[in-house]
Amino acid sequence: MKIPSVEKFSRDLATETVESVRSASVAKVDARSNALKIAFDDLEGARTQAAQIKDYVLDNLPNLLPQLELKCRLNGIEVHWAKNASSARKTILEICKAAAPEGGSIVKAKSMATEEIHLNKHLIKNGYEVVETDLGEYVVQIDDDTPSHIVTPIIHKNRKQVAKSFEREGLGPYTEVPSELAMQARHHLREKFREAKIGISGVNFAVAESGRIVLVENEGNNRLSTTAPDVHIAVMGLEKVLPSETDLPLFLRLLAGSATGQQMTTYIHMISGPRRKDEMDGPKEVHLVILDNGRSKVLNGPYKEILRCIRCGACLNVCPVYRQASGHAYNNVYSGPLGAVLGPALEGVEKLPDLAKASTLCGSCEEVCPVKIPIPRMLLQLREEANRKGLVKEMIPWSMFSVGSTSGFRWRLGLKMLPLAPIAKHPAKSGWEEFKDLPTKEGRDFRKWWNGRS
Amino acid sequence: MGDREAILTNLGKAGKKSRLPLPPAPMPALTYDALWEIFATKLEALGGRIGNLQDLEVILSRPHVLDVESATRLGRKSGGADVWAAEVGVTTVDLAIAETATLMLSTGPGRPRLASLTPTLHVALVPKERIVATMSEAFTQLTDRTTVLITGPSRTADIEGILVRGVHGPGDVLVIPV
Repeated sequence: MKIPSVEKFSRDLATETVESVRSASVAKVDARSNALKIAFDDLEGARTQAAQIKDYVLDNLPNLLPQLELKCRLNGIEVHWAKNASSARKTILEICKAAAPEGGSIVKAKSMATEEIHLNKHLIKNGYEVVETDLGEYVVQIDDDTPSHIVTPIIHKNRKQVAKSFEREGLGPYTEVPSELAMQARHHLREKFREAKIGISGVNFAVAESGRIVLVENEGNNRLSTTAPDVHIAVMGLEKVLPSETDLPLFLRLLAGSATGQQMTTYIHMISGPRRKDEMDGPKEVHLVILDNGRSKVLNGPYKEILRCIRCGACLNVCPVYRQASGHAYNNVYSGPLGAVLGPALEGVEKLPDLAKASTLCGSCEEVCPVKIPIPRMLLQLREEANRKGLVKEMIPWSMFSVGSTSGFRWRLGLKMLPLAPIAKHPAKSGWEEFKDLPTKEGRDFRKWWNGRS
Repeated sequence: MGDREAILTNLGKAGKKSRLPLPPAPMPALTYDALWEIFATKLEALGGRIGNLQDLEVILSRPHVLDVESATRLGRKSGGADVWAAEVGVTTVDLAIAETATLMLSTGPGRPRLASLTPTLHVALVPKERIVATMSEAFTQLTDRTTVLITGPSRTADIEGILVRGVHGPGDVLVIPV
């Protein structure tokens, strides 16, 4: 099946969806900048510091990961390594089978790493009921959809669509009031938290010095998923480690401000192991799965800095292409400018050669990035790589332009022939001309004027 | 070769560059009253409340769960209702952080993890002197126990970006300086 390009996808998108995505992303941008202004006297300095810490981490993973492993084990957290998605799925299934051999419910907190390894499908196939418990992810799951934003998964849906889905699933009487819909989900999911033997989450940060897993959330479903069941499995991309606990305040404030325009996210769960003997609740087992799945390869290549990403979603919200096309257009778990780099970087440009073109190179993504990832530079590099490997074809007029503009003689010759141009199709004409007319040439030639002036 | 070895081999050697130290975090010397004033303003902006012990008389007529420290303080029996059925959870927290109206709460004996999470109302008792100005300052007092930082009521904006409180955790947070 030929995958439609981002541009094609966005043209076929329902107006309703475009409006949902656009208005929600625009609304977040102001909140973000206000929150960060309050949080930091020197925001630039804070971003530089965070980028530097992340670069240090990326250069020192061979030391930091074994340190994290050791400290986690001392805390009673079992550590597993997974070189790719299938290995991670296998490891996680084994833990589940040991904990609940007869199947049963698994509650899940929102996690992009588990989306990346397509975990739910695998567990369901093996007899488990997997329940996404983040409100947005729950809607995505019952609608058999995929998340279209890394922070707000149902940015593409409006309240009417959510209301219809909840009515269909029998969660309660039809209502379009968001607070009532949220309460219906609360009541429905409470039972799942109580009965589940296993909870699965991602990881926002893992601290090497203390062996602590840090989870960041607003709803409380993540805390419930990682507290109520007997077994907690946390899945972490290997770049998520931080050297020290004292690094956390900087990253927590940058993440809260950039992701949702908050001073601080409601719950920061800092897990130092399973319940201890003197405690009355909490999981009896905690497992950490350290996932590579292409990351070590990215670290040694030109797109290394994309692994600084803390998944705040700020670059999605400001991106003119994301706003018009929605997350689904990117055909990848990770969407927006982040996804346009991380997707091809992890999976190979061969699989997603078109993504780097889904950008206007306006630079907004780099401006808002809390860890200063040079996304536009990497998008250009990806375009170059795709071209060099013959994966994308330049449109003929652009190839002609590249031939014509690189020699004075050919350029002047081209200009003489310009009056013939209207018979050729302008390279930017398709799409553009549905809404606008191309201007016709008016007045004199610059060159004639320049040569004739005295 | 196992996955661990394969990954570490791919990662190669660690770099030699050392990291920049964090800039010194200023710890403003404010009085407890001033810190509590900042805390209260920020908490109320988030939809939380500041109260006093008298408020508890009515509140504790509802099904509730108390941690040991709070029970001792209030002269009541700890425990109480089943944590899943409790409408109110009362906990005494480690610290309050003024700059973000955050509560720092660690686990331990007599401290059920779910008491601050499953009820619809979380009452946090904070001894008046257990307040610090900044998050960085609070992190210097972190213990090795599992700890949660709580900033205001549970919330979501997943549906059309509209703020809803109390989606999975408590929608109502009452902080009582004691």
